[in-house]
Amino acid sequence: MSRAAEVARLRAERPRRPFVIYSNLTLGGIILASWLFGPFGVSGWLTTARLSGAREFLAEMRPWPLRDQSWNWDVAFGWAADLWQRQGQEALLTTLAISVAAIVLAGCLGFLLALPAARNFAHPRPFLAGGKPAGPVESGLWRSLVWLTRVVLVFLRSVPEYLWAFLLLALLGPSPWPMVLALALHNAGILGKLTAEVIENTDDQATGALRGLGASRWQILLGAIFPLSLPRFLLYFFYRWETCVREATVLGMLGMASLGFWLTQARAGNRYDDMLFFILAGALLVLVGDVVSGVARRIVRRA
Amino acid sequence: MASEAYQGRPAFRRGPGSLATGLLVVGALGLAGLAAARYLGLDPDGLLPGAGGLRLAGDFFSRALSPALAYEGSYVVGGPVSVLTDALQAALRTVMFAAAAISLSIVGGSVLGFLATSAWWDQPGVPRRAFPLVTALARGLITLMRSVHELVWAVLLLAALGTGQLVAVIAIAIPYSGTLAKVFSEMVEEAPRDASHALALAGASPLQALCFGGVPRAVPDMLAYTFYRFECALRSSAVMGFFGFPTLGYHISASFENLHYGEVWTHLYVLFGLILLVDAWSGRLRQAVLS
Amino acid sequence: MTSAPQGSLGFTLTEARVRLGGAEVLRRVNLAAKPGETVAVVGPSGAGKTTLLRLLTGSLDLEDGQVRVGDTNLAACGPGDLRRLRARIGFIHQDLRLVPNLRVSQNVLSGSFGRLGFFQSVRLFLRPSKADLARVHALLERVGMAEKLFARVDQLSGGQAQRVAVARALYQNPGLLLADEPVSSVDPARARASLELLTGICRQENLTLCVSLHDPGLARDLFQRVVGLREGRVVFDSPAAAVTDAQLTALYRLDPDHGV
Repeated sequence: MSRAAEVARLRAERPRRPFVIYSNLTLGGIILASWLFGPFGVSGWLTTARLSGAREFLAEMRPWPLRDQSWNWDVAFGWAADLWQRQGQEALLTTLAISVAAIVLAGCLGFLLALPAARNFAHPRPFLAGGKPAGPVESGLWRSLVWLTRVVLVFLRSVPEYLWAFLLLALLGPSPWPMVLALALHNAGILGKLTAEVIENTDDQATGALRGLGASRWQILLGAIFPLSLPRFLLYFFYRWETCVREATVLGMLGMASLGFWLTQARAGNRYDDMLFFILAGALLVLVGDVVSGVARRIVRRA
Repeated sequence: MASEAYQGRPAFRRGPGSLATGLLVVGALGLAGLAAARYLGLDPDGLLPGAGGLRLAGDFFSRALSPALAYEGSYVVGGPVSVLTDALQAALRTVMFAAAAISLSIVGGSVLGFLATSAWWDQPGVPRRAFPLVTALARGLITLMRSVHELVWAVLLLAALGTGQLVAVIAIAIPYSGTLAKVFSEMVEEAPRDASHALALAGASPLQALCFGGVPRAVPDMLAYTFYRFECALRSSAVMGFFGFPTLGYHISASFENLHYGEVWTHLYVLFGLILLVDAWSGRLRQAVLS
Repeated sequence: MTSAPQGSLGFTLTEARVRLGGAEVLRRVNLAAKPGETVAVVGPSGAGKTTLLRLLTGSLDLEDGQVRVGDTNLAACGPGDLRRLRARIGFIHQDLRLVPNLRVSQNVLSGSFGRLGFFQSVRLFLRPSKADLARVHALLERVGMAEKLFARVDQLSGGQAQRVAVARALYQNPGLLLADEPVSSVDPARARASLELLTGICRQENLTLCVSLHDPGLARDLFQRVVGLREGRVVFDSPAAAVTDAQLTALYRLDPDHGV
């Protein structure tokens, strides 16, 4: 066989990963179909009307004391300080508090849910390599518990936070609880899944050693699993807190005195300058949250 | 005590593995949570819905197992499964919005991510020219794009550019581009450098060493993360419906406010099914690509 | 192999001193190789063998002395000149440094990127022409890996991957081939076969070859010259046939003070 033919043969027989290829092609196809058949109306979208509207809008984002006047930093600063005092400070702190309360609650819930979801912990004979295996009924019950918990976790994290908040607001009435719970439930689903994986991947030596001493599963949890998995858990914890801060800035749109609320109020009143203020305040909060979370994670990694 | 003196170790072993440090950290975080709760005025009574809320909860949850398939009442004329078909169509539109947004994000994220990567020019022997400025600008832009939530971008763009379906796509694409850019850049910079080093030693330029030695090692992670982002985009797209865009969120909020809880559950189940499907797909792909 | 400036490169190390992390790793090394020679560098671990090889690629700064590859003084090279020179030096790393999730063909082709501009290399990477692939296939035939042209590198065994690394270095069409402990993790029979392959190809192409080995027996059997390195100093440098057992024993002796 000539070399060119041989190369062609090898190429035809080359090992491929069909699932990966099909996944990529499917996503590409979905994207193409979406642009072609979606309700977007791309052509002729940027009309002159839109552009002039945009220019007007930019003008209206100027703080109102300075409209039709030349820029003056003192006046702008005074306007911002006034807005901060009246609404901004409380809104910012409320948003921050919502994110912190939510992530702590999510951490507790997530950890509690991770236990029955971890196959090595929720097991008739946890961490034991020998001995009489459990009967089929007992094993079946434990496996059902694991499966059920995982379904609950998937459900919790599949529902978007905003939707959780919407439903809870209707059920619980106006209070901070809907926002906190919405973020907490969604992130408990995520943290629960991640923590379950961490528990399942705990070093076997440590758990095996304690088991050999006759420790129960709760003692092993306290003595080996908890200390060993805490660093990873903290990494996930702070990473999700960043997202909680982001989401908390918009949950207020549903009606609780926080950044999102004042933002929509300003928009509804066509006070675009105030709206810009709250957007920037939210962005600043998210930025600070990112920095703090990054620092915390670096400390955990180095420890 | 005698045993510790013999072992020559203090009773408390300070360090990440010790139980005491762990409990301390957890305790501190718990205190932070309690402080936040106190500031917000969260009290356990708030968890119990009032009388009106209980009635609503009862009405709502009683329809959980009997979601509506046809429109009730005479306000909408439709077939026997019209609610279901409407929900599926809304799901399709949700997917379309998310797909369009993720495609823009992949393009924007790749370009920005490349501009924000310093690993390839930040080496001895490589002329720096304008690269530090470009990288700094790119990183700044990425941070700005990520700091504003997609719903806020939607509000902003709706106010600036008027209504239009494309607004939802762009609003999701902006922060998602930033996130993809940041994550892609981090993945490339943290990928093992051995192959790119070998290419440089074989005479490749720093750019070539990055593209053919560094990036291929990060591509599996990048692929898995992109699919995860698509799943997130589905959720964001559904929520955009609350703002008037024709995705699942619109129908959920409309049906809810009209107290047609059966329809709400239909749409909820469709949303749940959609996300479950993509989540399973994404998980399977991650396994295939990262094993 | 692909078209490139032909001609093998010799090298000369003159009074080379290298300091790494505060310690002197190479002390006053004088070593020269004529174009086409095969040289084996042996010695206990920590003797400086890897450092010596890296010095020849211009990756290290000299505290004193000079390194010349071909006619070029490495210290006088600008970054562009150094890259062009490196494109003519093939290096087989001890840990191979292939890209595991790419195919063998892509890994081998990447050896020629040093000669190509960026967009040419992109085209070669994504859509290699039939001629390019035929060249790679021919090269893989010489190292006995032709069947694996499109296999993924992470599906190969250690020995197979190593031959791919050799092919990548050879695809550069180099004038000088360097190999850092190429057979340290391979069983003795395969080690001999691998080295025979390497030295055979270098003889055919008249390539200068410099290999660091920890098995002096293989060095003596398969190479023209053997250089003994110990604690950064050249202890002996002679044709393979002239290396005595006594020299080797002295080279590898365990020093009670330093405890190698």
